[in-house]
Amino acid sequence: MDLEDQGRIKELAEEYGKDGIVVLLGAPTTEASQVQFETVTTGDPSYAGPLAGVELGLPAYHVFEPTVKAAIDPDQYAENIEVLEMGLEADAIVDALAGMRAG
Amino acid sequence: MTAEPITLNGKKLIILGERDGVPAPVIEQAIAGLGGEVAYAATQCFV
Amino acid sequence: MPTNRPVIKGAATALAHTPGMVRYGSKPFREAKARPEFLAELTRGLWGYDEACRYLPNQVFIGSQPPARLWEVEQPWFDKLAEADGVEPPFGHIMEERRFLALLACADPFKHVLLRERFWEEMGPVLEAAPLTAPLASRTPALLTDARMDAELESSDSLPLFTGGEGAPVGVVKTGHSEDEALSASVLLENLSCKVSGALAVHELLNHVDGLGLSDVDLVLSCSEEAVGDRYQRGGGNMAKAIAEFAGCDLGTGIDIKDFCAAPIPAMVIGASLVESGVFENVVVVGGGSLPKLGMKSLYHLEQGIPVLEDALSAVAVWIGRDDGHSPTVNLQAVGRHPVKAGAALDKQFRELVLEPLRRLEWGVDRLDRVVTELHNPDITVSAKAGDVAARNYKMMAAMLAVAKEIDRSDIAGFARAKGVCGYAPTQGHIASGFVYVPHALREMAAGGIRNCLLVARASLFLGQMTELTDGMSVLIERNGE
Repeated sequence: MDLEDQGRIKELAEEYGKDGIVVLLGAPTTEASQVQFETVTTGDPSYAGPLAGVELGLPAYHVFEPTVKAAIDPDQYAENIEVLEMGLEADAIVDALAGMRAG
Repeated sequence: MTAEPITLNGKKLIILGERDGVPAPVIEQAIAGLGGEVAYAATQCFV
Repeated sequence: MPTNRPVIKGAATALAHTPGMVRYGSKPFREAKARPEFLAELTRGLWGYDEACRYLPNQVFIGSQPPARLWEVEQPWFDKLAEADGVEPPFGHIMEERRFLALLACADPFKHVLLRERFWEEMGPVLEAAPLTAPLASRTPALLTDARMDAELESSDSLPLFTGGEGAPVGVVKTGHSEDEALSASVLLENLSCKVSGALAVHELLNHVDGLGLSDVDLVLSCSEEAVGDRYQRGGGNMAKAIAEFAGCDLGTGIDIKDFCAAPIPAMVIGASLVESGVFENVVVVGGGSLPKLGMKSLYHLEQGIPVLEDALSAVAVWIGRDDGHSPTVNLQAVGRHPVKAGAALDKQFRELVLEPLRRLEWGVDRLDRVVTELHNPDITVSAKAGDVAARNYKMMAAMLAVAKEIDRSDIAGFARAKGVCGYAPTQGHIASGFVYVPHALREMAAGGIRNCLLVARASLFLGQMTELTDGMSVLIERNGE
């Protein structure tokens, strides 16, 4: 994940704590989604950024995940996200993140 | 099985969008009105 | 009857294999600053010239192989190097690094690039002997003895020039102004790299087409990614004019067109419009290479033990002129644009850039033979966890067309092979846009393989942090007489 992003996320996590924050992801690939998820939960897997070795444990969801989808107004979702979901590997992303959450 | 909707009310939101996935402004628009406050939003371009 | 209707009379490519300059790409440069031992790791991961010439995506770039060959060879391609066949490439050559470095000094009127005397004694005659480089090497660059070179290299704000990343530097780039970041050695090197590769593409074009001489070019439009300027006007320009001068287009002038990676398509549309209006007769649209993007994904490549594949500066030049009755036409009735209200999402972009122009022409998708968008080489991006950009673009485009009921949902999976092209371009955004495919499109139209081709380019404007928007533009080119 971009080092600038990691720095900002670290600052926000220190300020608001993991219970006050939700991270929403929009990455197009399973691998990129997994890297972002890992970075904000167990730490930067590339060990290059400010979150290397930092376990923030932030709750993180891809917008394609059912719990996020259920919260968004269906018309909004249909208008702005549905075609993106159809054109990307949405199922694989959802499964991968569920798998990582289950440990 | 219908999933339980996520609670964003009262939360600070960190939005990490991508130009070929879902860009940050699209996510912001979709979750507007759910009570969360966007604390940081960024869109990546991987190429 | 001859008209001003704009046609594409020719297109060419130039690829400069510059492994020794990868260290000056943005990512490697930052990494080496943080971790000096990175340079040794990087150098170990670099390819030599022979390997670069035998790499399938590079062969497609210079036209030695058709893009369709990429569908036939299983990815990844970096471990399936072909034998060099020695046949003259149809679009342009792959230049070896030493020649390119020597040309950098020839292209520098302010003598900030200094070459080692011995190096120039060797390279000057080599440049003079080749038809491609001889016209660019008429000026003897600034030269230094070994002793003076060693002294220059001790200055902390100058950059040594290496061949292949190893051995003693063959030259050095000095800063252009001690208090001006816009004229630092690294910015000057970036801009000169763009200027030289752009001028090479112009000369490849002149050498590969009939009917265009240096004195015929009356306008050069640069769609390159650099920013030429000074502290009072960063990005002031004008790379196009610098390329025109260095290439020897003495009767021409130049203007830069900026739109992040999408710039080539607006540049082609503007060039074609200027031809149609009669303001200019022969416009050359040129995109020079981007130094900052060398080694952009090198950390991923090194981590996986694969070669550092972003090791070449790529350039494309396209000649737009008046209708000659046979060259493919630029259809200015079918320019796709991306209005502010369309937003940033990919499906909305493609709706504006693909579907809207087709509907304006009252065309069904079946009438479109080829649509070309970002053709980044997937060898580079898949290993960097960014996926196959071209494949993703086509899938999204097809999903959008299916939702719009222009194609059947069952056609989504096969859309890329039916209408598209496999990615092969270096990750130099503006080149990888539909621009890189123009020479292939001309060849396929001449051979009767396709009747038309929609070129689609996208721009991540949000990277400049002035707007959260993206941009894009598309243009249709068609076989003459369609």
